[in-house]
Amino acid sequence: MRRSLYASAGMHIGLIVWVAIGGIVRESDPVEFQVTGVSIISTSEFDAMTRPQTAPAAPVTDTPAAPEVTSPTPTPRPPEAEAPAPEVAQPAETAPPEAEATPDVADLQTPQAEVTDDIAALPSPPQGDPTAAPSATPTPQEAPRVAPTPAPVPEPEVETAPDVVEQPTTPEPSDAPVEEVTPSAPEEATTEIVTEAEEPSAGSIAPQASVRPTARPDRPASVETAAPAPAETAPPVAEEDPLAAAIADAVAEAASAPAPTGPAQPAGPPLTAGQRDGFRIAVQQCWNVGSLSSDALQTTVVVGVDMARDGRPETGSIRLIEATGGTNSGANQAFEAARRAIIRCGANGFDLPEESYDHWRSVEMVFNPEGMRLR
Amino acid sequence: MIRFLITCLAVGLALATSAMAQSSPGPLRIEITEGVIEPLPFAAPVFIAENAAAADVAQDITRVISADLRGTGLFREIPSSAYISTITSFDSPVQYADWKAINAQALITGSVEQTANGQLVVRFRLFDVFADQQLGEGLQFVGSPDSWRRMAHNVADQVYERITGEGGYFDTRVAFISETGPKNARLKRLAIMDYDGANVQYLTDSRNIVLAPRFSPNGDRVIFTSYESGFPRVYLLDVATVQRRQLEGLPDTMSFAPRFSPDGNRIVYSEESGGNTDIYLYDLNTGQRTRLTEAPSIETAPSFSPDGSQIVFESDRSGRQQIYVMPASGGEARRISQGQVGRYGTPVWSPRGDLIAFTFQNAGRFHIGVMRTDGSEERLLTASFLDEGPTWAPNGRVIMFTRETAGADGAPALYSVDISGRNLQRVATPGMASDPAWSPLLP
Repeated sequence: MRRSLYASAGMHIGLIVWVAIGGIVRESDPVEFQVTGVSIISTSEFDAMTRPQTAPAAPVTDTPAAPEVTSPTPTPRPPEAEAPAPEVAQPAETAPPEAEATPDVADLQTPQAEVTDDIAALPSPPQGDPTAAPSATPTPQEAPRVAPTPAPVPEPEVETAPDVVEQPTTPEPSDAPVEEVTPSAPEEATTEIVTEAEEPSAGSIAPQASVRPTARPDRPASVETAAPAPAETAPPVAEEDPLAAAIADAVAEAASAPAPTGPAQPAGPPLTAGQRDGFRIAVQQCWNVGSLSSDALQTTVVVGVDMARDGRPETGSIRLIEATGGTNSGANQAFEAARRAIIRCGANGFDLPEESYDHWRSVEMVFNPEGMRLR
Repeated sequence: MIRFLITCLAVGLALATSAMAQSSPGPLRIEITEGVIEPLPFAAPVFIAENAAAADVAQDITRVISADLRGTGLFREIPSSAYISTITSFDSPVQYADWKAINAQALITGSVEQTANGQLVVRFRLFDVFADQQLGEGLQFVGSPDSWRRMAHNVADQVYERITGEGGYFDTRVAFISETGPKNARLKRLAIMDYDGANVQYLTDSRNIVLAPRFSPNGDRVIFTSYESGFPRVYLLDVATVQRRQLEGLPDTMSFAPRFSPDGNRIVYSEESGGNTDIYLYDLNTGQRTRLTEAPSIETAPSFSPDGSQIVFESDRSGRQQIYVMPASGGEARRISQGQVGRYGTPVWSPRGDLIAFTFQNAGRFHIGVMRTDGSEERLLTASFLDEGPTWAPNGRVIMFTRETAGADGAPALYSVDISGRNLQRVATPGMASDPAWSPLLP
């Protein structure tokens, strides 16, 4: 049984191996023969074919000779090496390279010094009105009006009486004598009277009586008697608890602190975190640091600005409060970029709640370019 | 019990007082840490021509100023078709509201006049529109009509400096190698042009290969490498007279990669001797030559720090090209490039002293990068088939370099990029160009 199994397995394995690698050991496909057709001719036919080549040139057939084509004499193609180099379009290179063996010196001596010899500062022009609206000269043409003259003011409509809103009024104190009202019990609310003693108490889980804490044990007499004499004669301050001293200090400090006055407190609710973020994002999207120098990008500036109630920054109030991290020149550039950001993005007013105006009427903006530097 | 109540009362009182103190009225304080990076919009109406003779040049000057500012990538010009106001007189008041309405954050006004003696007078003013005020003082430049481009560049430099706080780089020149011919037979000439590609002039002919020009600190001389004698030697050229001379006293060995010291009196360069390349210092006044490195490896591409105290160079002493810094008098060098892969080369110290620009090659790509002088904060700014040879603008904010395209038709050209990696631009040149060297601001 096992022997036949081995024999079967061996035959199968042999078959698989033959199928798998049979192609390898098999001879490669034979190369295809290229067959060229030939025809057998006799010696006389061969002589007939070769005879005209050796015979003197004479027209064998009656067909007229084709007109001789007069082609130009073919000139030998110059070798590649002698071919002219492909010229790159260079306007200045039209002359042969050797043409400028002695470069034009006169052209090099451009009047360079003249330019910078006379640099004069100019007076400023008269200042335009910064608050003026854009001039109307080149504004787009208005659409043609139907009526050349303005229409008369329409008659006011019939006036309607304003809605009367009754305001709650507090009763005026009158001088009339007030009747004395005899206090009386409220009306009956139940059908039967249940006394306290008759209230059911069986289902109550409330404790019937609280356990009184035990009394503090008396101090041992030996402590008092064993106390050293200096302790008894020490001033009472020495016996004070440090906690009590700290409390006393805190109270004293609190009492000495100036009491806040009413008008200094900003009115209205403070800005929410979302409103503050919105304000910050509105400014930063106009803060262009692309043209700032490396020095200015090292400078953090704190810029103060006063705001109008409509959310617009008051341009004249923009001031540099503090600059850190760079030179004075860098601080100036950083401040100018910050000022442009505030003015540009605040031109139409920042989206700030008017009821919180007291909280944002004066703003300090810290422009920190640390994350914008080249890395 | 009484004591407990007193304690509560006192603590409550203290807290209430503190709270009232904190909520006392003060300015609202917000912190802004994120901004935007975008070009600053400006308006530059055509400068007023004070007389008919200045009409054309007034337009040209305005055009060059606008192009200078736009080319930095930091400014965006508002087209004149959007203007509401018109500038009719140089001294007329500015209608700020009109310029605010079109979001012009900077306004440049000016005038051009050609005087009776043939001089050109250019005046300008810069306004911070949203601050409703003039930014700095108005200035006036006087020069010959031929120098109108320089006057325009001067105006643009002033505007750039007042707005960004950094010096401008428009009134500068660039020395470069002008190339012609096929890739396997290039003809190279030393040339010079304005930074924007105008006024190209050639300083040498194309009979000899020239390489690596470098300006002196005041821009009056150019030092470069030439194969005039058959092998590379260092030459010094006077820009004004175009007279050149080979440095005296150097042995008959290959000398190359020269660069001026900040004081302009010395030159640091590489010299090959016996198959070894080291860095030498050459005194232009005395002709004295001092060897700064002594190593069996290749040390080359030296560049001084702006204060002249240190030299940065490349060396393969560690097995791969890396960047090292050593004292200007020689001595122990410390490696500053930290990369574990690739090769670093052609380091150049920034004029501001804060960064070092370099070429980085890795995985078949070339990059221009910058790093701090201690090797930290390395950043790659570009990537291409071949980017190499950085040179700094005098304000240390822009880098110009050579970019060559791949293939048999590959051609080199000059490009510039901001140190932020933005504003990659091709520099206009009349043909193929390589090896740029940026001059300082012209005197």
